[in-house]
Amino acid sequence: MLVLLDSKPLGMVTHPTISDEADECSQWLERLLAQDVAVAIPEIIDYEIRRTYIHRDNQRSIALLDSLITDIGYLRLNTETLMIAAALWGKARRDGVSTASEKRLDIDCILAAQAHQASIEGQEVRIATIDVDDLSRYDTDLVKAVLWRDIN
Amino acid sequence: MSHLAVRYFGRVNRKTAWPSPQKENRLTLSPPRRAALGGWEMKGLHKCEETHEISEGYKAAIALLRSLRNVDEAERQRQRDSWEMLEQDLDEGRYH
Repeated sequence: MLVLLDSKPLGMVTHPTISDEADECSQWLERLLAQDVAVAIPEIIDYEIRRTYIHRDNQRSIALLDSLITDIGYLRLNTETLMIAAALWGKARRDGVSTASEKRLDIDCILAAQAHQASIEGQEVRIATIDVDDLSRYDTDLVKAVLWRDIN
Repeated sequence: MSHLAVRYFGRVNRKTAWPSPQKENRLTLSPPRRAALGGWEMKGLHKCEETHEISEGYKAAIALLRSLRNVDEAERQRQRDSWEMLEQDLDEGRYH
C-alpha cells in the first residue's frame, strides 16, 4: 500500500502543536513510517502548500517541507499525470459530480490523477485526507480517499 | 528547543536563492527515491519488511516529527501563526 498525503494532513504534521488533532496526525504518520508503510508527498500537494509559504515568505516552513520531502519521498507529476487528470476532470463534469469551479485548477483532480497513476501496476493507493467526500468520487478498486486516521 | 529542531530551524535565517528546478532535479521524469510511475521499489520494500528495518530517511522523518512536537512556547506560537495563514490559503484555494 502507498499512502499519499493530502494538504491538510501534511500541514498538520508540520504544525503539530496547533491542536490535539494535529498532534494525533503527527503521531499517526510516525506510526506509519515506523511500520515501513510507503508514504509519499504528491507533487501537486507540494505545489499547493509551497506556493502559500513563498507568498507569505515563510522560509522556516519551506525548509521543513523540503526536509520532509527528502526524508519521506516525493511522487512526481508528468505528462501522463495531467492526461489522467484531464480525463477525470472531464468525466466528473460530464457526470455532474465536479465540485470545483470550471476556472479553478482543481487540485483534487490532479491529486486523484497522481493516485491513479501510482496504481497502474496494481499498487493499492490511499489518499490520506480530511476531505473524503470530494475526493472519493475518483475512487477505484485500487485507489481510495480515506480519512487519515482510518489508515493503519 | 531540541537539538533536531535547532538543526532544521537553523535554516530559517539562511538567505535562500530562488530554488532551481534543474538543480533540485524536479523537472525530470526520473522516479523519486521511493516511488516510480506505477512501479514502486518493491524489492527494497520487501527487504525492509523482512528485516523489520526502516530506511534512514524514515528515521530522519520520525525524528523531525518528534522535534516539531517537543518545542518551546516561541515555536508553538510560530506554528500557530504559520498554520493560520496556511489554513486560510488552503481553504480559499481549494474548498471555496
